[in-house]
Amino acid sequence: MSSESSVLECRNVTAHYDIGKGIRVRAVDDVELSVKGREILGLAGESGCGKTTLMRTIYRDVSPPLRVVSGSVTIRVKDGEEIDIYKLSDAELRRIRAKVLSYIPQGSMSVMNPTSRVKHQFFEVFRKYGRFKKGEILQQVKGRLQELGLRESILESYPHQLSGGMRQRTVIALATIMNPSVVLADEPTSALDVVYQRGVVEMIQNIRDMFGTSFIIVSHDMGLHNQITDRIAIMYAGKIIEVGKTDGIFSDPLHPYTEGLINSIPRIGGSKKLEGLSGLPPNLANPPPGCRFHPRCPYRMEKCAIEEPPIFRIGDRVVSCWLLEGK
Amino acid sequence: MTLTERPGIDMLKVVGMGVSRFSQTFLDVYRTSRTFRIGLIMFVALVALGVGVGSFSPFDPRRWYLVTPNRPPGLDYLLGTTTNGQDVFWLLTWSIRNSLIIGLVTAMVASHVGLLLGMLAGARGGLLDRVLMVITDSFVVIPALPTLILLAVLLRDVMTIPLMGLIISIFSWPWPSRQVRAMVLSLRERDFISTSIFSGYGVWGRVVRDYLPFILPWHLVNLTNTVLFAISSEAALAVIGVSILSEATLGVMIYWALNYSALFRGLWWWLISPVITIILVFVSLFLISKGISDYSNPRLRWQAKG
Amino acid sequence: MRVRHLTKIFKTGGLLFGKKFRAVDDVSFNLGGDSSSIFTIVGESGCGKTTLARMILGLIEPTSGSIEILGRDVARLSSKERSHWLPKVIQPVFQNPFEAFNPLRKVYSYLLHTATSVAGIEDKAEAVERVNRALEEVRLSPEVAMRSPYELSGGQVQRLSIARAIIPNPKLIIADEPVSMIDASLRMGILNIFKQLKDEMDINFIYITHDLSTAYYISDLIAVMYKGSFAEIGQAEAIFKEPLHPYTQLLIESIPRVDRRWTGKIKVSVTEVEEYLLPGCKFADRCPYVMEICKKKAPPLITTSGGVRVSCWLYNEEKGVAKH
Repeated sequence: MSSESSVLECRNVTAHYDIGKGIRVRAVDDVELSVKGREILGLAGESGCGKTTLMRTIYRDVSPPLRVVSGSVTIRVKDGEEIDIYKLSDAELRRIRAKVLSYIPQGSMSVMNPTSRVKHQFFEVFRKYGRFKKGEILQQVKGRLQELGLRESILESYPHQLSGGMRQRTVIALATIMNPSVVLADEPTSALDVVYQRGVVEMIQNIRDMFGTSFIIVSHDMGLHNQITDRIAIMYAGKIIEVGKTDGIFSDPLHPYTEGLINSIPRIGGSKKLEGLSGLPPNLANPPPGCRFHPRCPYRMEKCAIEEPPIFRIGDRVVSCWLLEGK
Repeated sequence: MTLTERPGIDMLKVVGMGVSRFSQTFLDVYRTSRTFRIGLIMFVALVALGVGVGSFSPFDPRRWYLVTPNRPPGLDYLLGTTTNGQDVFWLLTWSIRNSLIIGLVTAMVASHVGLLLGMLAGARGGLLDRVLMVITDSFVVIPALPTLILLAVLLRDVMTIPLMGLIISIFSWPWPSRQVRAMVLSLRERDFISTSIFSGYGVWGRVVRDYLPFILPWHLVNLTNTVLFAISSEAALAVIGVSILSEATLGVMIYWALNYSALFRGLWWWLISPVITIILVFVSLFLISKGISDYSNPRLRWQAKG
Repeated sequence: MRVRHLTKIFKTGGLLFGKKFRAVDDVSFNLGGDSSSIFTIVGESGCGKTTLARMILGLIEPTSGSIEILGRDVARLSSKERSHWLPKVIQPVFQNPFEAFNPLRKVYSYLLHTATSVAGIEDKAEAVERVNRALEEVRLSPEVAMRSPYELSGGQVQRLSIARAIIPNPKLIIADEPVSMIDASLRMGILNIFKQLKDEMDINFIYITHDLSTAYYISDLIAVMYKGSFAEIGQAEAIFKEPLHPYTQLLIESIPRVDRRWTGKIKVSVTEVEEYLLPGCKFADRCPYVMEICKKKAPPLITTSGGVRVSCWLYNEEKGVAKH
């Protein structure tokens, strides 16, 4: 891998939806993304930008009409070995899930089996890895719950007996019990009340601090990204258009879309005259030529409608915009 | 209804819209569902046999001993003849026709009564709903078959084919009424109903413009199933000898064949013909019904369309 | 508009052993007057704000209390008034734009029918004209209204909803989480439309949300709702500048903000105990300033010197200022 400390790398990942009648939706287009160890990377973007498809592609949860056209996803395991997700057999893939790469899908609060107690959900995870001794498992799980500040009593409860925030935190505990290197969390707080969001955020940060787990947090909520992430990648119309340290992105966004996005967020005590972005995101079955954002861009130049901008690197920032040319 | 539009013209408009939407949907289902196509073709063939070909029948099915009895299928008698001197083929065409009439009468009456009452009860709620449900439940509780037998016997003297259909309707309307009401109740909670209310639509407006489009696919399936149910109910009554034995229906044919021990005496063509025909009727209606309900399932429709 | 002691109690469970659940508990407020305003009701899921909205729209019957609009009580309207008069005065905008219209119908039919039936325009050409003007207000071209909802974005469909709502020139629009399901970059467009409609067409708004940031952006008045009651209600400026109720403070603190990071850890209650019938203040079990009296008696809604009304034992009427 190029970067020493990278724990997950996506190179030239392209994925399409073939929905018949020759229509091909380019949901993820030539994406390059890397996550470092002990890092919480945010993936931000609005509906239809492709972030959930990208997550599914990384996790290899791919079935027709979704098709991965090109690219590679590699993970570095704890002992330094590199795993190429798409070169694994089905059996090998099943083995690394939960242990190396874990996925918490959107709306996962309802993903737990409502008819069995929480402790049985944990047993199931261990069973997949050949561990059946319930006593031992319980010990380990209780220890982990304590480390994460969760009460032991949730093990005996049924999912519906827990509050929304509690359920989400339990799901996160389940997904991280085997200490995976990377966890993909899709909108982990969107269905929660504001007050519970903070608990979930703190838990994720704790897991990162204690066990060195890296996270990719997918969310449309920029406020959440500001609270929890170290770096953010902004996605628009299937492409990653800007990546950088969170502080930098918010204080000095370089891509016009990022700037527009951040400026359209109301703040308490802030301006009462915000504009938001004009126009609409493009149809991914037939994206505009050149830069996909150019129809809505207040700074667009002639070049933008003709040629897609390459990736420019400035310091630790990565931006895909012609404005950065020559800098 | 609205205050400003003339109810008569509005009704016509709605009926016109309904007809055009119906034909559009029909063509759509036909194009996308192979099941529906096969079922429909089978059914149309049977109807053609019963009504088209049957109208040329040289024999009155109510009269016996018109031809040489007990003849096996051959060039002179296509499907053979019965012990009481009837040509099996022409008898069969009449039977198809009469059974279908019974099925159709029941379906038209019972399904639509059920649809109407169900929508009214669901959309209006309140006292009307409760009264209608009490009536519906009472009919559900009365045992159908014994009552049908009783009615069939009591009305023996005035019984006709359509009347039989009507009698079977008596027990076929409660079920669709309950189903429709349940669908309407769940639709009622959705925001667009509130939007309709605040757009000035009254109860009937909402029933026709909002609920009906959702319920129509189900209703069509129910119509088809009711035809099936009616034909089999009549056949059941016939086989125990309680239907109109003087007329020709598929069930009655089976009755007479059994009565004369056709199979035992080697006159297999007499029994097999109506049995196979009834199976064909059932299968074709089932395929039609399945085609419609598959089509209504959006995911399957998208898959089929590609 | 005058809402007085509005209460809604839901009964769950069987005939004999059912439990009572106070979704809305003794809520009162006034709206309107000389100029129109945007009144925000902010609260988390389950606090009763949607039930309150539905009662004002006449979709749910209150258990007790009154909702007076232009002198008539919504809860006691005849069915004719409810279907003919109420939609002229109040209109809704719903959370999910794609649920607001029947997917099996054309959106345009709703707009036209509102013009002919609610606004009472008999001449068809005039009705179409009214629809077009409404579409102009929300900055949509008439051809957009002819498309099916699923060809449009959430933001566009929501604008169609708003266009439909303003056709009869109502006095009040109730918007229940109108931008929660819309992308962040498109939200401002919709909220700006609300402000513009308030100024230009003199329409009052009741804006229901859980998002304090958007509440700050458009509110004139604001009420913070918790478990069925108003914890705090008053001018938005005042409440945002100096939130009095501990719950309001907690809410403001908990927003994931783009300009500030959370500091320190917070205590989050482990399970939700839905004991709506316990005596005392409803927030007592989560309040960092809880006192003995909070657990015994529910605090009344008192008016402080700043004009803000708050329901909390920390404040009292004579002093009008925090006791702690």
